[in-house]
Amino acid sequence: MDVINISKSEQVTQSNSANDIPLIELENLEKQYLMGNVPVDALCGVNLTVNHGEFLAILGPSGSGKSTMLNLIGALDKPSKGVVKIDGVNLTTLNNSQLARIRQRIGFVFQFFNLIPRLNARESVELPLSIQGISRSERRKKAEHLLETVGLKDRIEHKPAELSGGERQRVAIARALANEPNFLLLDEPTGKIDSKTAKDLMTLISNLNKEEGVTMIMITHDERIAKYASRQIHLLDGKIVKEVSK
Amino acid sequence: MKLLDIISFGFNAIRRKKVRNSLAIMGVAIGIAAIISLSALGGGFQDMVDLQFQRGFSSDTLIITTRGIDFFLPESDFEMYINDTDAIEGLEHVQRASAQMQRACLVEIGNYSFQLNVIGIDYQKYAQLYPDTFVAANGTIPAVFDNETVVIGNGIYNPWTNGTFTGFIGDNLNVTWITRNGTFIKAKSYNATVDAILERIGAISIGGPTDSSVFIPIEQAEEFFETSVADIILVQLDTDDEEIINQVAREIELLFSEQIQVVIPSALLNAISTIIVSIELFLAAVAMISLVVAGVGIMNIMLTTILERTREIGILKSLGMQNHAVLLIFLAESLIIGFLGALTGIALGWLLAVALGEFGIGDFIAQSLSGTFVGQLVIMPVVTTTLILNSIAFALVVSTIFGLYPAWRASRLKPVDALRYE
Repeated sequence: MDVINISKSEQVTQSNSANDIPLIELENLEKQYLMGNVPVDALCGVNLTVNHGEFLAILGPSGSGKSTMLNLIGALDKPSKGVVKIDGVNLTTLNNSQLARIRQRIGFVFQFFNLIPRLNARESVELPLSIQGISRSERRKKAEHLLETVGLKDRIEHKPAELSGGERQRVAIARALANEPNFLLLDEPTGKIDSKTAKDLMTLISNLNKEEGVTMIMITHDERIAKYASRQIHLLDGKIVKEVSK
Repeated sequence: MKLLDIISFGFNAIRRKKVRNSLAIMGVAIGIAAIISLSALGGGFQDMVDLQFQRGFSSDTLIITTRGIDFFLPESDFEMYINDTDAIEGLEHVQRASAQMQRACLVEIGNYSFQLNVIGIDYQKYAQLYPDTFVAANGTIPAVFDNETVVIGNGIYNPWTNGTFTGFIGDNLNVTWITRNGTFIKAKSYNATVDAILERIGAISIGGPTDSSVFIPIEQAEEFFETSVADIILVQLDTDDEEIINQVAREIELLFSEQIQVVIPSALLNAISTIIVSIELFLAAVAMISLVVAGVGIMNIMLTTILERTREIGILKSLGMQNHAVLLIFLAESLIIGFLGALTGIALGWLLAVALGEFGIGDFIAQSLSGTFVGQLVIMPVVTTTLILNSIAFALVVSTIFGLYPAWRASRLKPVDALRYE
């Protein structure tokens, strides 16, 4: 299954270095949900451009459409109207298989960690590599290296239940980095972690952005966490109401 | 994703839910065990019947009887006489015809007495008809007619096969026949000398010798049983060509104005084989139903598993797993259950077949047949490679069919919905 057509997702990686194309473009993005029988406008016409190497924080109260936006950028959901482009590729034109390939180049970090309970730290980080069909020895090496990078060298064989919240989120970050993604999508990464640990985690994320050049798009409702970002946008009722750049 | 990784991922998941998956595996195992043990016993039974009949029947022999083996025709009171053999021997392709009469008598030998069939035959013709089984192990079958002679089956000489012998060559054997003379009950008896003990036959037969027969000369039988009516006439042909056998059988029927029945042993064997095959098929069908039930069990636990692991499916999709890989992962889990079930079932079924073969199925059948056939039956269960491979294939097919729908449902889940699932 590794030899499916070398499609638009391949072009994403190849055009990575071409900085004239923005990494992410959202054009008039709209998303409606049905809550029971009542349609809810989660996003109403969002325009946004994210460039390579940026650290963007998306702020807003709950129900403002932050998560919806993140899901659309992450190719987990399809917009009702408008366009999502990643490296110039319009996601709305892709089929399920091509979207899956796009997701292989995106790193997700969730508020609730979303680790698979039966897999230990190393197996968790190996999982995205295994999905791409990378050999056992290679992915093991890479997973161990990544866990070392996020500071979990002694926790390699531990399962999520044996790890603290901060450690679990580090495993999730290592997993998100495993595919050498174009960008990381972080959905309240410190939401379930105490403030001391959250600070350490943000330092790690910030360093990855500054030193490794990993583009970060992070949802938060915490102003202190948002300060780590180079740019902040504020969402309210599905619209961008404020934008702040450092 | 590589196939090996898909399988090991599925195996890992199965290991985490030991109780539930063990139960599903047991479900499959029971179905497979039923198939294996029933087929193995059926195969063993078939083999045993084939062997028995090959020893007990010759393919060039016909058996003429007035009683008939057909259950549906009314019984005829037509009688055949011992010297009818002359007329039959006059037919083309007939080598020899030998009349036989038999009565249940009390036989006393040494300190033992048994109720046995005493069979009156022409020793010489009989030896020609059954050259493999009517063979003396001890003593010699007398060639010259002698009133006082008797030949016994090995089972009478050595009934418990444990070294306790009832008597030896030259010993006296007393035959008592109880009959009616008008309203009186009359017991007749005479003393004979054991001249020969047959080799162990270990087979059942119609017409032919068995281990528990007592043979006396036909002339003596005629005199002792006070009749010239023959119970059966054995006819040996000079060919085993089926067409000629059928033709001669027809001629013999016509010779007796269709008042007798001609049994063709090879046809009988075929008929019995057909019955055994249909019984086997029926049993296999029953076993297969239990496997289908196991398949429903697999589907049930896979649907539960997918519900429980909805979030995991969302995670896998967020990591870029393709829909067909998700499908394969869950299909692999049902296949692993099916495969482990098949292996367990084969082991269980084999044990069961051996146990049933060992402890008595053969004896049970022998006892229920003992009115007609006597002999010890041993059923050796037959577990062939084909049977094993077929069972595994069948288990995998069942688990694929019932695992496909849950796996398909898993693969169709939308990533956002799956990730949001609580």
